[in-house]
Amino acid sequence: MKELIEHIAKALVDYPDEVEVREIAGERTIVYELKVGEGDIGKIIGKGGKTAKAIRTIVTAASMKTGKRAVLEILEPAS
Amino acid sequence: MAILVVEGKDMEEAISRGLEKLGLNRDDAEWQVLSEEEGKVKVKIFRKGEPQRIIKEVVEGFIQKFGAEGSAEVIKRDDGSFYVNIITKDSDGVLIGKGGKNLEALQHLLARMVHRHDKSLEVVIDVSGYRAKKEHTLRARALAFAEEVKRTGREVFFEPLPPSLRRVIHLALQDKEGVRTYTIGEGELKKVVIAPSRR
Repeated sequence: MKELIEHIAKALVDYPDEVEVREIAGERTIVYELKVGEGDIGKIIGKGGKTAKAIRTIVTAASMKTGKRAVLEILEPAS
Repeated sequence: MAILVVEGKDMEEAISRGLEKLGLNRDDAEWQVLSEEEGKVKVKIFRKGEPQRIIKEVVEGFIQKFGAEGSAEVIKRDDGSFYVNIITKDSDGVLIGKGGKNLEALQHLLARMVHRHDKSLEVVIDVSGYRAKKEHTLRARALAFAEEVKRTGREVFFEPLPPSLRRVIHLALQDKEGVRTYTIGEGELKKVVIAPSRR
């Protein structure tokens, strides 16, 4: 799952090297924190949040295979 | 090397420049004129079948990371867009999702991922022909509704649909006499309406 999120994010942004995904495993849920380079956040969120929503849909779909609920948190750059 | 944009003072110069940069013979390349002005021609040039290769790579790379086993077939359509049919061993249902929800997410993401390679590549993503079948049904319903609208003079509303499917209805009826189509609503609640033509 971590790889899938990284793969999608890297394919969307201008600075793929700055994409970071952190996995925080809980008992029933795994939280994935996605961080991207400054200025790339818009590419991940998309118009009206459409891209972010699509990524979350795919993450949920992929988590059906693993049996553990996956939650994607997109971190806003601290500026 | 993927898809190049080259300039020249005329077509010939632009094409030979592109062929040289790509290291290709004329027979192995395809090109498309982007703009043509006095003394300056812009041409997009690539190896034959390059767009299909790029799209296949993006889509199959995604399928693999998704944890599915399968492949994508890419077909160039008459309108210049590329129809991509994904077929997997066991994940078709998950990739389509309830009411095609996951497929719409795939459509959005894969189209953007392909755009990163070349902005002009339009893709229509399908899984196991699900979309093709849905489009076929929608077209048939649109035509049947059009007859109803003509007969009764009353508007007919479709259920909310994603952009790619609303387009199917608009196109199916664009040359149909006696009816017109328009969209109402916002965001994910946008619906197509079939209405009698204005006199």
